[in-house]
Amino acid sequence: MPLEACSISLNEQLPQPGALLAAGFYTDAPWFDAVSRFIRSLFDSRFDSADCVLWGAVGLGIACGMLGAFVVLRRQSLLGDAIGHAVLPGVVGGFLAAGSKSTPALLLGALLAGLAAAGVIALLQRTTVLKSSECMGVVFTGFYAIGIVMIKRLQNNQTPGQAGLERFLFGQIVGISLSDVILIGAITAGAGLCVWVFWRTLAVSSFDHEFALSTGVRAITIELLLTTLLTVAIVAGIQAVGVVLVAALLVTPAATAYLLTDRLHRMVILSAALGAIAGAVGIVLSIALARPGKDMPTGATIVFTAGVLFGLVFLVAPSHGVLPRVMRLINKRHRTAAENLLRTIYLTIERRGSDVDRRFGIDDIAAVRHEQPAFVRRMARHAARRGWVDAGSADPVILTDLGLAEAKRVVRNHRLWELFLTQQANLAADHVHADAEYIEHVLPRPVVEQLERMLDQPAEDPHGKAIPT
Amino acid sequence: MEVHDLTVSYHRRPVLWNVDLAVPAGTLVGIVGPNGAGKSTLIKAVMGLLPLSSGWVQVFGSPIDTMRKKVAYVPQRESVDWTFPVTAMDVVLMGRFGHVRWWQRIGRHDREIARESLAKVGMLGFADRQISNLSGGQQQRVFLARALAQQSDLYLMDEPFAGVDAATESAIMTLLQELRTAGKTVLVVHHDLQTAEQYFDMLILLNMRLVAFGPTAEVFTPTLLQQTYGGRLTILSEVADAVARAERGEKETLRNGITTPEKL
Repeated sequence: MPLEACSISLNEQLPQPGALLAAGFYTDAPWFDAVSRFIRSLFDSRFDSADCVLWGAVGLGIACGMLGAFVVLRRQSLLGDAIGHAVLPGVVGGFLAAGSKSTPALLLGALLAGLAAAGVIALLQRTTVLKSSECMGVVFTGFYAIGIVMIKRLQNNQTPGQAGLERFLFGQIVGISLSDVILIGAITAGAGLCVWVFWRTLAVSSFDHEFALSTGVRAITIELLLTTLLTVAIVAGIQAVGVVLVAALLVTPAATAYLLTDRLHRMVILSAALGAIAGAVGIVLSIALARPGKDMPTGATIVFTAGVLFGLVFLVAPSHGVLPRVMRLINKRHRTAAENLLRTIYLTIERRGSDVDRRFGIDDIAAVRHEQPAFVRRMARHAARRGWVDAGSADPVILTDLGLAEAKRVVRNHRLWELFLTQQANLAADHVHADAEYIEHVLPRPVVEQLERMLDQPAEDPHGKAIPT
Repeated sequence: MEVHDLTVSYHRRPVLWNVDLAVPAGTLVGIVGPNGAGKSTLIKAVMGLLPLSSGWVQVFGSPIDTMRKKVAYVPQRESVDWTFPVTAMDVVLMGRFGHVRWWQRIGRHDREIARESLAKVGMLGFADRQISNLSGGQQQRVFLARALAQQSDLYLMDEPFAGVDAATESAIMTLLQELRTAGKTVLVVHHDLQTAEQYFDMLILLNMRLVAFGPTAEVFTPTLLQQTYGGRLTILSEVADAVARAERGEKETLRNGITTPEKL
């Protein structure tokens, strides 16, 4: 469906570039000049169009980010997309009713259309065998198509004052007025107040709907509250990002926040903050990419920014990020290599019958392990980095006290696990070594203690070797 | 708790027919029956989570809506998303939400009750854990702690023993017996016939209709169990389908024809 929308924008010149340029940011000068003028006029003492644009975008980002957290947690992202598209005929209807593009009229129309669409979707779900995604698919594309037809009719008939309605497709916030900003601020504050007052209801019903109902929360209350809040956020968001992309402003910052935290209140605050950042950066990007007479839809740049933020977090988030996970995997591989070296050293100590001589030749270790000396040297470097062998001596390797203790721990894990497998899992003694080779590196301390209790503080492994303490 | 002539339907298809029950206070009751017998449906209907096609439910002599503070419901563990960003403590505190008016904050008193509830299920040490970092048995204990925090007189639990380890199962059982000793009424949907006999004072045998209800010693008999599990209620299912079709305004053709027991 974005294709239909594109065809409208691409086939025709923007009808009234003057209105968009009124903000004064698009000029012949290079892009950084426009951006620097925009940023400078944020910091002068006047509250002018630059401040309107910025605060408008930030307010929308906060409202959508905050409510988006609940949309994501309730797995209702598709509903956000559906309502986003479905508000388009309401925008045009609001224009027809008011006879002008007055923001409150357009937003009221959008609100009514959004709620109507949500109502029709709920009705279809209840009365047919169709699943929710099909119901949404049918309804929102239908509403959206009606909206496109209405806009096109108005354009073809040259209806006075209609120019610029397509801004609601992709969003263009540059040029909004102070009263619009105040309206956006009121919507954001109202949504924030609602979330604060109904926090417990939202939290419990998002986590466990049936439990919430069992404590006396009414299903209709939750449904109405959330659908209304969702629609209001979308309606507020369409000025900046347009009906096509507004779902992204709900979902992307919230999904980003979900990767960063596992507490609900932090997620909501983070999501709102990320929405605000995406809004502000997206505006600057839009101004930088615009050319004289040709604007760049802020919807695209804001959602693009939100997407970049998500990508960054996906890569580097402390617990869920890809890079930290890869780092931990690599670290674990190195640690395993070092632990294997220690185990081989410990076996050598056992053969020697004494740990007085702490020197072990690389070639000897390599021979025992059936590995190349170069590989053993790498293992030794990983062990040296952990302080298990003396860092000053490459060959022979010199075991430190810390290294000896660690070697005992690893061998102990290995032999405890072998014993567990033979005694409690009834495996034959010749089946257990390979398993223990791996398990010795991952056994957590509490599990080791549990094994000790279960095996009654054993002294020998199934092969008759002493379990070191 | 009293249930009279209760019929419940999903999408207009009756799944529970004309159930009559009067559970005395202070008993530990097991609800057993095969898959699709309507066990979960029964307790959801009692909680008022499902519309009733007929009949009524009373709890302590009043409709459920006026008695919600006295009734705690424990849903199936699989019914929620455990990656939800809350801690074990947050979940247990949800048990207090029904006791706090919407303008009031959760107070120190509520936190104290939540902490005690966590301690009773042996989970106090995990209070600040995010719930996805808990094992299945620990998650089930958190659900039970939430119910305890509600300080109710009637507890309805949907498969609290499903997928838990042996230690959790015996801990839960001890807890249920303590509740009963304290004079509370506990209804438990239970899947395991082997333990049902020793766990519960009374049993509800269910298979789309009430097969039997009474003290375990009286109803845990081969005949009644055979009626509950053995006799396939093909007729009842077919009639339920017919009711659903009629109610939905669909064509009155039998899809497969009635499968009589002789054909099986």
